[in-house]
Amino acid sequence: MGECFFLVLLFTNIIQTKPWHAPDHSIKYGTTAVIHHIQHILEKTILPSWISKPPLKFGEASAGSLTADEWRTMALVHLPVALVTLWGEGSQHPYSYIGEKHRKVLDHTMKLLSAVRLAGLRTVTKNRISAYQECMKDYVGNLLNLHPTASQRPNHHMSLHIPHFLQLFGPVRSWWCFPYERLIGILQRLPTNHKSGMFLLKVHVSNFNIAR
Amino acid sequence: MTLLHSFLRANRLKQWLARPDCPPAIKECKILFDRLSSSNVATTPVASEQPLSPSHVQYDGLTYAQSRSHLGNSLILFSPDGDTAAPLVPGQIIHIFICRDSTTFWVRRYLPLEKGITDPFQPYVHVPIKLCSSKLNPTLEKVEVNWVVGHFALYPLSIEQIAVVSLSRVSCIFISNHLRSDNFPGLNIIH
Repeated sequence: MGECFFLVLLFTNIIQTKPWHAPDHSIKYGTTAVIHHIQHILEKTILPSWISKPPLKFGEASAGSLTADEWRTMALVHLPVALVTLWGEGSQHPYSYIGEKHRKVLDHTMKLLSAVRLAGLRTVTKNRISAYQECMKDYVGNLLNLHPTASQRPNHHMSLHIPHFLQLFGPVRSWWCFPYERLIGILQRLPTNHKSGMFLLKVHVSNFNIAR
Repeated sequence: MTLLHSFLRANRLKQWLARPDCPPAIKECKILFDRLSSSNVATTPVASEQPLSPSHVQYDGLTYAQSRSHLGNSLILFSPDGDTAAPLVPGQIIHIFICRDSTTFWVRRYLPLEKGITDPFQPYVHVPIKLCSSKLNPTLEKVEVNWVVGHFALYPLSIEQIAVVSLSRVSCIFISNHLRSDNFPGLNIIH
């Protein structure tokens, strides 16, 4: 459940199909150049075989919608590399104020990516919970300052309850929604001719595969 | 449906027997169960006096490969000399050897960044990404399989620099200035 919140947050705040606008409506963040840079990172990054690789045409309609696991890989691997190399220390900008603005947006987004990383770890400590809380509070607190056109969503509120759940139930791996995401994926891929019958057997076998 | 139920029950029993918290007395029965079961697939390499050099090996659920077989599966972060307090080192598996149930890798580590180059990932302590040189140390070093923390993703930033992204989902790797050493800029685990 926890990571699904983050993935929705990422979707709503980082990769929007329409470009973002700064408070003065002069700086765009989600430009075509940014998407092309992310696609370049996706193409060139070398990954082990157990990681699910997001589509190379990320950000384009032909890539389709990403699975929850692909969003997770984007948040943990590709997006931090892409954004830091674009807007981080040593990056080039035509004007200094644009560089400063990009750096603020980068630092803000990295708070969210840090929170995703911290909450998804398979062991939980008090330090990690408090670090997550700090990152998420910073992210939610400064969201409207940096992106006035964005709006507060229920997921922002719910993400601040996750530290409590981490204390109660332990690592998110034991209570997140990925098994259901897998089931949804299996159900979506099931071939069907819209006739009833024999469906039950297939679902049972699918459930067995998930349980394994 | 009877066949399906039998199939499900047999597989759940297999799964239970494979669990580490299975009672020892029941585990004794597993030997008999394995003999009865037709699908007796060996999960560990067969012990042999002669060392084997496979292209890939599975350990703790992960596949490690030689760099010429699968570059992505050959990229590992490991504790040098098994010292878990030491900063982690990124390296590339060149050879794999198995002898008498022990697996060892021969690894070339990635060299540290040259002095004077700023790491743009350094300010983000909770995101375990590190810049280092794309050059490999020409010296091979021996790494026991249990010294390996996990794989890493590699992005070639330029001809001379690569970004190393830790994929370990157990350890949170923090990067701190004061732990930098001349051998390798610090990747340090804080549990």
